[in-house]
Amino acid sequence: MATTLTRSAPPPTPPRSARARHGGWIALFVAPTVVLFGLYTLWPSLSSVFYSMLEWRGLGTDRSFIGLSHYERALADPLFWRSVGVTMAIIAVTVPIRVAIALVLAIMLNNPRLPLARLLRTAFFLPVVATTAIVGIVMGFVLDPSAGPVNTLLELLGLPPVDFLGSSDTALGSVMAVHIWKWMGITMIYWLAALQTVPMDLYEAAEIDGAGTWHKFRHITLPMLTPFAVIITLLTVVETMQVFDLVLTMTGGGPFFSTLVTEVYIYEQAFTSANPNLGYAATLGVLFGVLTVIVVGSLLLITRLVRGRKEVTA
Amino acid sequence: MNPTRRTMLGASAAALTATLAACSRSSDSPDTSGTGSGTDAAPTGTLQWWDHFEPLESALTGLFEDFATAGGGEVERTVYNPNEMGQALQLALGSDQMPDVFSNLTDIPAPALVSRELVGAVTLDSQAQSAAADLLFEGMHTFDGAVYSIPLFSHQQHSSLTWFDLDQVERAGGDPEAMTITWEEFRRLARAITANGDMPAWVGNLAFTGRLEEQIVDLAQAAGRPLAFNTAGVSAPDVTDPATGDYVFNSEEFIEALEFLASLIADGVMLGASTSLDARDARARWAAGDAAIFFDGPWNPGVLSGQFPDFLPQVSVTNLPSPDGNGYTARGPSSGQFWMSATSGHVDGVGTLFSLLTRPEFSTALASNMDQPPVDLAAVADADVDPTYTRAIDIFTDWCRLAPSPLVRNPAVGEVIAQMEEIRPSLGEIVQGYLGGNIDDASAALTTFNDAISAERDRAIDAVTSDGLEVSLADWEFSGYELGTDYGPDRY
Repeated sequence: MATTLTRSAPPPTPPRSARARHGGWIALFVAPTVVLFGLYTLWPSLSSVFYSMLEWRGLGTDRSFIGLSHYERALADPLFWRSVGVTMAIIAVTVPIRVAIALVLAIMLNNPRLPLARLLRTAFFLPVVATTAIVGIVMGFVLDPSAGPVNTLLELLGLPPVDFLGSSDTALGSVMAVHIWKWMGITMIYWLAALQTVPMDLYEAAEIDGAGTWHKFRHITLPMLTPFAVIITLLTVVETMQVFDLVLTMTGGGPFFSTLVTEVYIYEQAFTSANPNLGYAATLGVLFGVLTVIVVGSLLLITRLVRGRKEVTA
Repeated sequence: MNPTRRTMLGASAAALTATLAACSRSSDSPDTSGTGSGTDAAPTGTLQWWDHFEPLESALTGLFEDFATAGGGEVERTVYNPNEMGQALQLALGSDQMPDVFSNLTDIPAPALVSRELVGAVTLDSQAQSAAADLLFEGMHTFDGAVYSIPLFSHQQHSSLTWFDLDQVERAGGDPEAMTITWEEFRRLARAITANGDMPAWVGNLAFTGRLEEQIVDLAQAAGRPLAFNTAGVSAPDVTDPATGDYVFNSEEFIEALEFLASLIADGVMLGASTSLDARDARARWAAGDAAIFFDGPWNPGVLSGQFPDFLPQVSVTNLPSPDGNGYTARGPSSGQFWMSATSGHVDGVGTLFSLLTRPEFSTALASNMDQPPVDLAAVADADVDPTYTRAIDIFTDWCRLAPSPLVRNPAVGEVIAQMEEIRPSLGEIVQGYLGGNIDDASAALTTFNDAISAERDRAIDAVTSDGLEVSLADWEFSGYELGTDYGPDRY
């Protein structure tokens, strides 16, 4: 039997003038993004790398190139590593809690039969739009060990007062709790958006087959949300690394470094140290950026490995 | 009509064009701010003045009005939060927008300000020159004979006065008229106040490590430790032993002072919230009746009169507590508060303004603010001030002295201090850590700090001398000095 190989004809090539016109439009529409990305992301990043190699106090024109000396200093700086440890602890504790509780809330609020669902969505999202610095200051009053409402409540219950922000034993936990409360709403919105992509037909079919709530969640919702879980977790990790304003207003990094996150330490080195050093602060900023990439990259890698193993098993 | 994509694009383009046009008009307009490069020969526009002395509003406003009346032109004053002043100056320098006059919260010592050409010399009129003659120290206010700044505030002050609620102290059997108090009397009084049940006796500012650093230095002096200070301010690198030139933060007096503060916590007389309060919040809690006693500076009645006027009549003050009640303290010469930016285009105007700062009328106006005392303490008698402020000044007159200053002896000391990296935990952080239970062995922590700051100074001295400046540890030694005496200009 003779085999006839057919090949689809290539699409007609537009005339050169049309291609050039097309390219011009593409360039025009891409230009704003390229310019803004260059100005506000690329240029500051490259500048930071340059500044990190300068001995520069930030005052006057005295700048001298010192190569990688600041990097050597940073790698041997115990407070820098301590701040990295505090930042990682906040991520390790708050991200899983935030992602998990937000998922539960989103599933509950996604139920069309839930009364006051819109009101509850707004209520959970409200802290997100509140100014973080104001939240930090207000929480100082709320958690006050002498006259704050939380301690007043504890007193009514016959419990001893807790110095939430003044004790290094409780300050970090208090900051984490406020951080989770403040940003829970945005993670919940991510999950709600993800839930809208799950086709209702699947639930209806499962119900016809006699599946209960747990089985629908276990065999439909969770598998369908898995790709979103990776993105949502990554977004939450990156957001959590940026806790500067909340920590600065609630504890200033204290007491005795117990809440000193890396961003606050960088700020101290740049502006509030007894001897500010913008060059060293830039070095810490570059290292923190590298650390962010490593954390996010590691998460992506782990996710791919897990997925790959699952596919092999399947 | 619904906007189409085409009309939206058109509108966006028009808006962008308008914005760019507005930007270009703004940048093309002549600089009337008096800021910027300031290299113009002729002064134009308003003179810019930045400082962090909020209570000086009325005194400086009067001064600026006199300046304007005399044809000097307008002065635009911007008051910064002290925490933000250094940052504002950093950003202004980086963007070439320095004001004509600024208060130096950069932590750069005066000699370094001059050597790095950040500030310029001013010319005082003849009346001001004679008025300021005894106040100016070479290496601090004058350099090679040229005047750069003048001191406004007295060195006779500290931030550890014992301010108390009169009613509470009287009810607890204390003597509100006493000008001094011993550590034991203080503890006994605090326990009695707390036992009365209305409130804990003492509120601290344990979240403000800078103030804790000042207070531990004051308390160590009150315990008998003589110290040399580069200026009237307190920062650990500036505070040394005058006999040897060494740092002595692990000396017996510092440890005793730390144990005294710790004893207030052990006695259960401290307001629990103190651990998370800075000075402003602690003062507010004290004025609100949450505690009876608060350590603060002479500016306390000035703040109270503005923010808590009903509480001021209930307040009195005594000196900081000391082991035997004879709590002498000392500070170095008061540095200049205001400096003219090297890029200012208003050199003559700033000279006139600085001359006006030396007038007795300004000292009286300064005292009227009840902030830091004026360099001429006698001016307080002519000012309309609360009796507690006068009482605070009387305490300073009796118990505060002029300490020797290595910086005055050799301005290169300022370069050494500027070269020194900060040691963490700092002295204030160690105090906070010990009082908060994060440090168990105060003596070991202070020794570690002392060794580290000594080594850092040695490194800085080597760096400065390798740059050609002459400075040595001998510049920090003042063997003839005794706490309780003044180390005047004639002794250098």
